[in-house]
Amino acid sequence: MNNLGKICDEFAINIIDGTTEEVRFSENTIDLDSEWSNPSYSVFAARGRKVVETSFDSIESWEDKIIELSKMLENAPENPDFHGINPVKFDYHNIQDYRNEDIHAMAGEMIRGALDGGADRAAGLAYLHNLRNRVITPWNDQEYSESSLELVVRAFKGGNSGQEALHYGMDSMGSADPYGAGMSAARTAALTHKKASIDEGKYDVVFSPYTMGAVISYNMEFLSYYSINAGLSPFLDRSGRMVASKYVTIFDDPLDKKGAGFTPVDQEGTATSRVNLIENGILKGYLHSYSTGRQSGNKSTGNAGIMHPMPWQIHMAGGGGNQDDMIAGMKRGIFINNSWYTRFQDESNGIFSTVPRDGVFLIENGEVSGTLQGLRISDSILNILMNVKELSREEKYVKWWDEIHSSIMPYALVENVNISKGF
Amino acid sequence: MDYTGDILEYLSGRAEFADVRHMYSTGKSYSYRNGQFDGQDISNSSGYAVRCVNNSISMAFFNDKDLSSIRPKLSRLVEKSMKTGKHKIDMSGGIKKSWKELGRKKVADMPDSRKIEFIKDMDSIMGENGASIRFTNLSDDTVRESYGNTSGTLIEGEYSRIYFVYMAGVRDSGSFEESSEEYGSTSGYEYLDSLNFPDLVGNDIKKLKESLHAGRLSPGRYDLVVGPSISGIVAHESGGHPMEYDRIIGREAAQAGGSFINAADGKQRIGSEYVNLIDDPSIKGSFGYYEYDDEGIKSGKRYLYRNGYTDSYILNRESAAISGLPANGGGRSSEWDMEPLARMSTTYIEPGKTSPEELIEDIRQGIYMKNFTEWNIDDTRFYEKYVGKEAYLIENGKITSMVRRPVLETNTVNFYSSVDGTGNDLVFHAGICGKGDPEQGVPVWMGGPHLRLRNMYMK
Repeated sequence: MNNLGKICDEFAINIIDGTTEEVRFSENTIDLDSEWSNPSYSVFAARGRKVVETSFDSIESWEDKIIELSKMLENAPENPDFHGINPVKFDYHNIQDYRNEDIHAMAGEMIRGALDGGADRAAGLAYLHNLRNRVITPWNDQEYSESSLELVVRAFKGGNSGQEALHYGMDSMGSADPYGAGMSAARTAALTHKKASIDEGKYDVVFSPYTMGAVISYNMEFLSYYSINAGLSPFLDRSGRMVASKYVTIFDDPLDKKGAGFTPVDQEGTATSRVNLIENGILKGYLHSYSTGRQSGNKSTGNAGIMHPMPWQIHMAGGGGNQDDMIAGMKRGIFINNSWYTRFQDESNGIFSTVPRDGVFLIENGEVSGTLQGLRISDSILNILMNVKELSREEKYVKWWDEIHSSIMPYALVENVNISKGF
Repeated sequence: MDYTGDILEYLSGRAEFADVRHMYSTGKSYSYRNGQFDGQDISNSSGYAVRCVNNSISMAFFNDKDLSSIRPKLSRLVEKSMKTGKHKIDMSGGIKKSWKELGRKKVADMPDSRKIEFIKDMDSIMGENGASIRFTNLSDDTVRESYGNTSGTLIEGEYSRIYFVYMAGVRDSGSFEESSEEYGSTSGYEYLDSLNFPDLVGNDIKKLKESLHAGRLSPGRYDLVVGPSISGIVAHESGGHPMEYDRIIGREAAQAGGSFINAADGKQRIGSEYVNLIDDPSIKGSFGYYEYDDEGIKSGKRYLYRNGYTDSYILNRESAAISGLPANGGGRSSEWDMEPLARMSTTYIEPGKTSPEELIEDIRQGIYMKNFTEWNIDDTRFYEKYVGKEAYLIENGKITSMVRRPVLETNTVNFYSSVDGTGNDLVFHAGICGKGDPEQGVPVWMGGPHLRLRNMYMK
């Protein structure tokens, strides 16, 4: 790939190689045992302000690809938002041995834990990723290993469900407890079978780390400078202003090796670091690549995507509270364990709805009084962040499907959340 | 060099059933944003998806270019399949066919400059009509695919798909409205000539701007007429998904979820007699078109709901074997490195004989909700919500003033049971449907006629 420099001024090559294994299960038995062992390559090439991106999985036809890239660069209009690839030299090389974990056995443990916890049936999966990443630019050539584990278990008891969806990095894989995850999901499913019903309206809600993870995952895109520059973000023109209650601190934490989102180098070779996004409620800034940083008079935050910066591992700092006390202190409110299908009607103002699942309970006088069905959180991200009143000390490493990105989240007590329901 | 035959030969004595899918795909994508070119990318991917069934089902995904490195992976695949797990699968075979849908204006013949010009034009039209926020993307994919199994099936397919998507936002006096629309086809670039995109896009933005100044609805019960865009999304979300048999048996329970349908209950009443809901992958030109699915099964039209009752399920080989029914061509995977799941293709509500105007003319006080912005549904596909984008009051049989963001939040049985009239029109919209883990998005069409629903609670 050495001849790439001959057809462009700047480039970034990202190579991922290694294996991913997955075991899926449902109805208490294994469905499928899968293994992926294919490399992937992605190339960003720029000539002046003309840019082209390409992805492929074999370098056998590299010479053809060079010809095609050159042709596309020649014909492409300029992208005025491109301001270069980071020319600073960073030193990073951290190749570690792959981790071997028996995820087939872990899937079995999740099922056993769920059944021992009182569930009728369990579904879920385990992933083991053992990947090597290499980033090459004219100024950097960096490599690192990324081993991570994901455990997802949804337990059912009658018509109720509970779910745990956890991720582990190189520094935490040994502490994974698939049996405990299954047991915990089952306990949520079996908490009560009494049905409750509420009217639409504003309620105090305890968000579990999963619910908060789902809401935050869908909204962190708005902190990318790409969204800000496009003019489509509820955080637009709010830097330095309160966008959340004083209890809320959110940062990107790519160097936390306890999580699957560990990313020491971004896609243009910039070494990553902690990036403060919201500190005690105040918006501190946006996610940048070198290019968007230059465009806006800022520095790279190590979050390239060169044209489209993105977070690696969002961490919402826990507080001093305790989730049991949050529930015990509620006169009439709701506990929501998980949420999915978040969709926006107004991205400029962050107005969306999301559908609670896997443990939605009415709380009355500090006690769980019944399960709730057919509800939605129909609100805006700014209202939710401004109404956070307490955060738990406990934080969970949560990751689930495409709904919750690798993140670290506490329980949160949020006041006056708009809850809607169907008729 | 295609090793499908070698792989099947290796597995034929070592597996009760095995299949191999090889896919080569190449794609190009172009974007415009707020009046400026936003980038282009090209992608090539190819590889083998090999499935082995013994005491359980295992899959291996690789793109090795020589047999010596493939053999150890097959050996490991067989070893994994000896563990205990589910292992029912439809083993039918013996079909040898090939199919092709590359359209008239071949993707390979369309210059980049023409595609970039198209999205630039669309961006300009949105801008001229008042959209201050604009994203457009045009992409094409060309796929060459072969499927073979140890039961003697060998299918070869080749097709190209065109996909155009845009998002626009309009602002005025502190108010904001947004619109996203998707268009797609399995064809060549003649698809872009088949619709009047300047009018479609321009009118959408004009109406969006008008809606900024529309009044809000007084919550209450109304007769409701929905446009094809809404009957299509409803058909997809609360007709197609709950009839995917892998969901019914819990296979997707920890991700996309289950289904409110219980197969043990037999045919269940979902809606009124006017409700006939179809999934049909064999509609030429449709975004989800295929002649044979990704498991080598012939595609065809299926009634999911007939006269208001559940009818056929969408089945892939695995869920078919568990149901005791033959696979019916619903096995789809989005890429070579994804497992085939029970998936929709073109899902729509069958049109009736009444014109859209006739549906409206006897309504004294109602709502006409033409299309939608925000929508979602619970994981059993029962509780759903649709927020109107372009919507109007109906007063004494006439469409009158526009209303802003009316909300229909209801459930599947209530929606379909309230239908008392189906229009004689039929319009399809494109979308990408997500399912599975790793999540895979497959191209689909969703469609239907105008529908009239009585006495719906709107807010």
